Amino acid sequence: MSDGALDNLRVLDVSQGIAGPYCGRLFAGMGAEVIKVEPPGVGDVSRKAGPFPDDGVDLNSGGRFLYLNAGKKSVTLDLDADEGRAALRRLAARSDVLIESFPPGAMDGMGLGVDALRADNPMLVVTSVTFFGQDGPYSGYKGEEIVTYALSGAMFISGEPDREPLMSGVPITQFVTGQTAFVATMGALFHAQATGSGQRVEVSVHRAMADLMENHFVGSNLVGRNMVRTGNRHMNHPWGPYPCKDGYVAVICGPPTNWPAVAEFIDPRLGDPKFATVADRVKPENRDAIDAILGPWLMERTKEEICRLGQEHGLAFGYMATPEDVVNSAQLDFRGYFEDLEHPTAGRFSSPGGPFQMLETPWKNARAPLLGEHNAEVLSGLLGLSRQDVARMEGAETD
Amino acid sequence: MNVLPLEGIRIIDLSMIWAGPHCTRLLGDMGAEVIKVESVTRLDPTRGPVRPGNGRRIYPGGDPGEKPYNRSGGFHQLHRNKLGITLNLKTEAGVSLFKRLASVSDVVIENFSLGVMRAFGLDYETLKAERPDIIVVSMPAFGNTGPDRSFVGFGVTIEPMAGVSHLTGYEGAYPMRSGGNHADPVNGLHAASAVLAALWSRRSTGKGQFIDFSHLESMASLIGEDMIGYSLSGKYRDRSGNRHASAAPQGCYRCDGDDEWIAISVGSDEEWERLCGLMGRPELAEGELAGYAGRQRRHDELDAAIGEWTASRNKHELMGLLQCEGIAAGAVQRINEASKDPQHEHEGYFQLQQYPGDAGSHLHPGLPFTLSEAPMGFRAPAPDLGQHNWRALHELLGLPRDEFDVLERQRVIGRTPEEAAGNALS
Repeated sequence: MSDGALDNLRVLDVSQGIAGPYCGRLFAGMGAEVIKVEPPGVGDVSRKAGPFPDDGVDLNSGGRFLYLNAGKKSVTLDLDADEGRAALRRLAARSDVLIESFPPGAMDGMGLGVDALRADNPMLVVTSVTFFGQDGPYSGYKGEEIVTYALSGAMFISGEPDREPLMSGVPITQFVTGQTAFVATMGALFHAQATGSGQRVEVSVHRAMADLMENHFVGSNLVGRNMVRTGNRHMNHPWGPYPCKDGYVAVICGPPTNWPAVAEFIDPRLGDPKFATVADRVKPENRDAIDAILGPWLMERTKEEICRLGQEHGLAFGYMATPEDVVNSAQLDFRGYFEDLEHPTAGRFSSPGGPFQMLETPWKNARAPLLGEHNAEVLSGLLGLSRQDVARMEGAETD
Repeated sequence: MNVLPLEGIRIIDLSMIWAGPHCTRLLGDMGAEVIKVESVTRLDPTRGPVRPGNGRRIYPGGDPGEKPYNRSGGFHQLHRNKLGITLNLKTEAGVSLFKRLASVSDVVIENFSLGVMRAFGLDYETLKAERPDIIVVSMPAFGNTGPDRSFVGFGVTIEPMAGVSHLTGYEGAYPMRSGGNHADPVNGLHAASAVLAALWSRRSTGKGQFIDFSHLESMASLIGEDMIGYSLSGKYRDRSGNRHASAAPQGCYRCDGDDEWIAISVGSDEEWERLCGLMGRPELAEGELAGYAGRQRRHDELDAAIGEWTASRNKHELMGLLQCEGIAAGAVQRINEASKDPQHEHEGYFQLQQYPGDAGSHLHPGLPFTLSEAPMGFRAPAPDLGQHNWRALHELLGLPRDEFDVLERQRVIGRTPEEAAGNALS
């Protein structure tokens, strides 16, 4: 078994929800020892999020938790109690990274601020993830996925022009925050190696999401371009979702130099010179004329068939894969993206792998922990607390 | 003295358009020396056309100038803090110089279609022979192996194929694309993560490696819970518009003005009670509506009540009012509003970037994070086409003046594009 790329790192993941835990997931998948610290009894809020194998809520078996916390260890510590805070501080002294997602100032309030933690361990990198930053006019604001998507400008330009703006179907603002936190934390680790000193890393959902809109901001700042919602219509055409026989396809007629092929495999009428350039095709009357030719042809064929035909002709066709399609994808299967895992409460499931494949240091696919599963291993094994102490702390938690 | 996190790392960047350049933008911002490699026959499409018509490109003041390919706003955003050279890899001399560059570099990154690097004679094994601990990131759309390995894909292909578009859309309606086209920067962030992890690993093992980056796998990471959920239960969720699975009500409500909106998410019974108080409708927090299940059941009715209340109010004022009451709310900002967001301003997120010649300085998005001990930001403008040919080929590789001149005459390198070079996207 090859070693992971980050297997010499220990990461203390005190964060909850999506963003911080996704950062921790990346560390765990690449071999770091990630110790997740959760509140006793209830655990990370995402334990309640589902989707669950059956209809009932089970803190150990929800899809979101299983995904974001794969390969981590779980320790429960009551941070309202001196004993819990002391244990966290001792764990931080033996870690390379601490990821937290408390409201601004909360760690300081618990005596677990950056200065206190770095007094014990000067090399420690403390990564703080919030919705709106540690200070500033919005820092006390309450965040939610729809709220940060709205503020970023992404929502105003998504959805139909005659309806309300539309959020993404996935919690994208929080995922990119987790990714950004990982990149920033790695940067701080390299910096610590060079300088002998750790530091504070600050990442907010608000700013991480803004970075996804970089090109739009440049257009607005330089030439006052302000995008509006255009539904599934793009500034290129055809360039988006269309219904077909068994679902929806993405008819992406690009690269545009390969447009002439559509006359060959879809309909010769598309070879009409009036559709020759992108500028021609986006004229409203031509959009409609093209769609009128395209529509019936698509409705007679399946999404896989259409995608393959387009791709065979050098066009970037795709389709609106459902979660079922993705799990059953032959491409992903060939590349070993999924691995069957057995989980004590959730049962057997197909676990998605990492976001990229490092050939010398492969992704480590492992199941997520039960709440407090590693209390004895970490608190006794690593911190040297007695079995009685651990049992007492666990008992106090359940009182 | 300020030490940047990636000082001393050299990255040769063949990637084009957005995902790859976003990756190297982050690494360059963090202090890596990124050498962007184009050729006079193939510019990065974000440089825009060599001779723009009345197109939709973005130049300072809307003026393409004499060398529009050195002034494009999108290019400047993604290539600040990088060096730029031209090298025609369809020539023997170009390939040989590329190998020499690789031999003094840490990372090579490319996002060509599968097989292009091999056709150049620059596959991983060859590069590894030049530099045994090289890290190579190869990012064709669907990865380097598998039945779909030759498929081409843009971000607009990947978002649907990864399951994201299926889950995006109004309740009961068809799937929708994201207006912002998010796949590329998401994949750029993952690619940067891979490079950083590989560099970290190399410090202790001395070994480089090949990173087989599939945009599909990277983007599918965003539906992890849905993949596991399907695998566990054989079911997956429907599109639910702006609603939340475990908070109600949540939605996007019309405000005062033309096409003005606010997003509101009520996270608890107490928050709902406060919102009803603000709306002067306390009766809406009684009975079954006091609890989440009842509110979810009667969501349409509550949306109508909230929308009636918000319709005459300013979205930003309303955001402030609701947030003061501890209710998550955000104005649906237009791009030009988000670019003047007071929180971004407070953090100094937008920074002035210098353009060449008389094109001035303009505000660009800066770094998406802050490192307390390593301030980072704009250090150098995006390179003119071939601007650093001399620096890279002579000063770094020791190529003599006369050979450099010959390469220029043969157009293996150059600072002006071929007429047809920049039109890949138009």
